[in-house]
Amino acid sequence: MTPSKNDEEAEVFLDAVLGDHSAGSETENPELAKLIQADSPLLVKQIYSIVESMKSAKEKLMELQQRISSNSVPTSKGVSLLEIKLHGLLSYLTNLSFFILLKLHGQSTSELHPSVERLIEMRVILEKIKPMEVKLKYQIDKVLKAANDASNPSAEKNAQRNVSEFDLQNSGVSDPLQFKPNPLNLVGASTALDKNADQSREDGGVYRPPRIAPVKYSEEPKRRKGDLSASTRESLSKSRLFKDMRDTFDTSRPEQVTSHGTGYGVRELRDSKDEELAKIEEFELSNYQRLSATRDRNKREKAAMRKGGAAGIVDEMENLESDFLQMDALDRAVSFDNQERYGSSGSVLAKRNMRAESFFTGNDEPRKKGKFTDATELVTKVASGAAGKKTAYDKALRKASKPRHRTLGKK
Amino acid sequence: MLDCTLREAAPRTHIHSPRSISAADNAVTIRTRKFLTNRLLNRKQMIVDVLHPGRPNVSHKELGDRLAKLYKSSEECIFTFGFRTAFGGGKSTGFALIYDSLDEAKKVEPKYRLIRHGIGAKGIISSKQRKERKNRAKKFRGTKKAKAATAGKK
Repeated sequence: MTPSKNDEEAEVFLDAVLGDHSAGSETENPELAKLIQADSPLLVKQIYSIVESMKSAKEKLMELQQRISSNSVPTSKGVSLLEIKLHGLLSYLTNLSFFILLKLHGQSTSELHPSVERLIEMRVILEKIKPMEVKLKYQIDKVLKAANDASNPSAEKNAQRNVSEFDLQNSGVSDPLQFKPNPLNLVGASTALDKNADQSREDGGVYRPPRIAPVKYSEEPKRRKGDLSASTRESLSKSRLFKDMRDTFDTSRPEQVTSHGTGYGVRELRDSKDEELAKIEEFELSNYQRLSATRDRNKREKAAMRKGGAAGIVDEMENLESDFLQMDALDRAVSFDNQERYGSSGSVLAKRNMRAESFFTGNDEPRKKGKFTDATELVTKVASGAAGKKTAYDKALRKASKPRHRTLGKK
Repeated sequence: MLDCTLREAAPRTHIHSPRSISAADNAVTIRTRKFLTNRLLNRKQMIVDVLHPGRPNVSHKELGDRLAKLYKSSEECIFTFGFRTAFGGGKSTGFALIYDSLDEAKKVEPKYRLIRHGIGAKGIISSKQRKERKNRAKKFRGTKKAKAATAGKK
């Protein structure tokens, strides 16, 4: 259909439609007239497409009718659910076309016409069929597959693969109507089957394990002497003694003040007492039940009050022991670090001598003070990912890539 | 200058009285949190925050009246309990239950809360009398115990 022909048809259609209206009604709804003018070519096109599709459908129907009349296609004893679906769709279509006819004739559809009732009924039935169909899908597919396989001779396939009939029966491949899960149907199963068959023939049926050199199994990455455990680090960060030391000696650091009592703090800055109170509060509000203070809680509170806890003063002597234990661990870590950097003695003198040497000889070597000499180096190295080369993972990678072990026994 | 103009511009809704003038003049604000309709027990339960600056905490009766107005129910179906005043005063938090009807409340609520509302009977409280009653009832077995208790009282 050429577009010009469409337009002609549209004009004809328009005249037919608009000519029916009297002059008065035309002036009444000019917008309606505009809408009709805009939509009419589209309508004509669609009508033509409907006609074409109907023609092709008719041809197919004739063919199908011939096949049914010649009894080449069985139409009974099929999947009854699908039959219902077919009939439902047909009924739906008929009723729908009747409904369209009603609308074309301009009859009002506010009262429920029996055809509309039918439509609703069919719609509900079709929607209910959908999940049932999904459940049946697997079985229907199996049946179709069985039908397909029956048409192709399966003996050929077996011969190609050198697989015995017995193996097939066991695996369930030969009986496609068997619904149990079949691991051989997984992708790559067929290739695995072939491999095993080949190997077994070569060795004469004896299993020979693959030859790989043994590697030592390590549960954890080995901890260095100078490392501090996570718990030590956490308690160090919280302990008051170290906070005070940091304040006095590490003057470059900005001063940290707890947000205790402001209501804005990070959750980790809450101490055990805050946590306890919060827990009690939560319980009370969610269970609509007030908890009375228990005897040991009261005792503890009284004791704390007596020690001056009302003003928030904490007895430092209580935590001193744990602080010193942590300090011991820290001291060990620091000394080990010093030994690594400044030689086996690891003393302060050695460090000073090294610095003096570099000063006098004018060596511009990067000092081993830290991993990086200054900020720019840090940024560039970290950005390029070079700083990560020293992690345990990278070391392991390097070790693995080096050719260390030979395979036992020569091939 | 700036201060004066600001003060004049701000509208004054509540006049906060100093302690010498009666404390009841102060405004009381009620806010409810965690509102939940409990269909199993036929009630609405919520956490109530009462703001009462300048006066000690609010009585159960007044709270009941206020909540009845808020939630459009009668005061007899409203049970309040568990009010704790925050440190420093001015704010207290507690719980409130609003039943659909008084019958439901009588079925569900524990006895002490009904007694607070004036519904249930208290029974004998003094421990001496309770012990006497128990000793009288020790002489009998079964339903005769109840008869003995009442007879002994006379």
